[in-house]
Amino acid sequence: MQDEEYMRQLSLGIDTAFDTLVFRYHKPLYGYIYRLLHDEKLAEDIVQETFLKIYQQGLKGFVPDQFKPWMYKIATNTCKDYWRKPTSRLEYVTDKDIEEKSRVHHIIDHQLERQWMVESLNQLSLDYRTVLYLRFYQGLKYSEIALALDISINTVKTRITRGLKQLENILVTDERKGAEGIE
Amino acid sequence: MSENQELSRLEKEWKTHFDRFTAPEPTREMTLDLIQKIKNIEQEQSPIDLRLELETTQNSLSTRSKIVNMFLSQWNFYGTTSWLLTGLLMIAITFTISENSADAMTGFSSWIKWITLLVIGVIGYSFRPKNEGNEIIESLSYYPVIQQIFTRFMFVMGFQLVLTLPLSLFVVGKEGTILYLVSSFIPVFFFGVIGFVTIFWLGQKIGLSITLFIWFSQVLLKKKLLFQAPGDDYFLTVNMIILGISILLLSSVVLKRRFSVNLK
Repeated sequence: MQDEEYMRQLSLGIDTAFDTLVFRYHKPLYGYIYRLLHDEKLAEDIVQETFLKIYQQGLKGFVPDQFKPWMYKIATNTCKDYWRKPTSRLEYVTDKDIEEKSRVHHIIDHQLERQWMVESLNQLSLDYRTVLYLRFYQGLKYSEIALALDISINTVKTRITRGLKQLENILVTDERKGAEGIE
Repeated sequence: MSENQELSRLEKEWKTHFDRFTAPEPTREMTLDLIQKIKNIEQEQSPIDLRLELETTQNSLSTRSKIVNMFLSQWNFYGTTSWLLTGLLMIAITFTISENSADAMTGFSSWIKWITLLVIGVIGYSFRPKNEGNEIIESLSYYPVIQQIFTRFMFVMGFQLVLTLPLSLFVVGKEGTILYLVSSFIPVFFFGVIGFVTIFWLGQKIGLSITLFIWFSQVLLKKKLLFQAPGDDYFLTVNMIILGISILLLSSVVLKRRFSVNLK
């Protein structure tokens, strides 16, 4: 059954419809938020807040035209609200420090490639990261990303292209640095 | 190479790289726990939020607006049609009695009886505890019951007294004096207070029964007690006594508040 159909059932008071939606989207939504925040506990809180908003809207009778973009829109906005808080801004700025601290942990785990990817993605602006995460991890279509972020399809495509090009540049720079280090 | 082709190429190239950035996955138990948490939060939040919303709106209003809202909500509670019908009934009673009574004294006696019965009827109707309409319920729920009933009492009394005084002059005609005005005011006020206080303390059914019992006992008694006309022997004494009793009964409403605070 389609997600929107479950939302319609929820709006009619069928509470179990919400359970299905949570089972369907808990993992992907958690992955999306975790990649944006790099904090498991925080990601759990934002996921809870996102699903709570979905549940409340459903109880009020709201049924979105497309559930998935709507859900990611709520999640992204909830993350943005979190970053707007003065205390969280500090945490956001020091993301790199956190990554630095966890660098040792990752090396021990032999996850150097993963670590490189995380660090490189963190060098991108939030606008680029968001579109890339929605495209590569959440598997959204361009039109769905456009709906989720309230931007045009062309802007989505441009951001993905520029984001990936920036990643290419980072890769080239790092390889050059590595080669210089060996010499 | 077109922009779209470049985008496809880049996406293909980077797909495997992205796969490396894994994220922890919540377990089935975590999902079940999340569902339960959300439903609990929603259950706890909704009634408080509605109340909070109402409180915030009301708190943002000035004292003048609050009083005006209070009167408007109580007026709506009773309904404009009902108020107008009450007025029409009073006028009808007055005309019927003035046309059918031989002299001012007899006319006044029967008029005051029916007017006071009307006061009791209006009180019984307007003090019913039923709320009507969502908006009215919301605005009413902000005010304590004591304030609501008292406002309705003021409506009933104010409205009836404003009509009673000029109508009493119509009944007694040329013989209308200050004493007639007083004697029409006090019984109306007395039955208004009895109705209000008994309903307030004992509930609508018992309160209304007691009030009607007092009224019927006065009508059925051969000797005049409460409905004294200016020419009667104990006119001043009786009116002073019932006025005193009315004030004492009315002040007992204040006790209820203290009583409920102590209980808490």
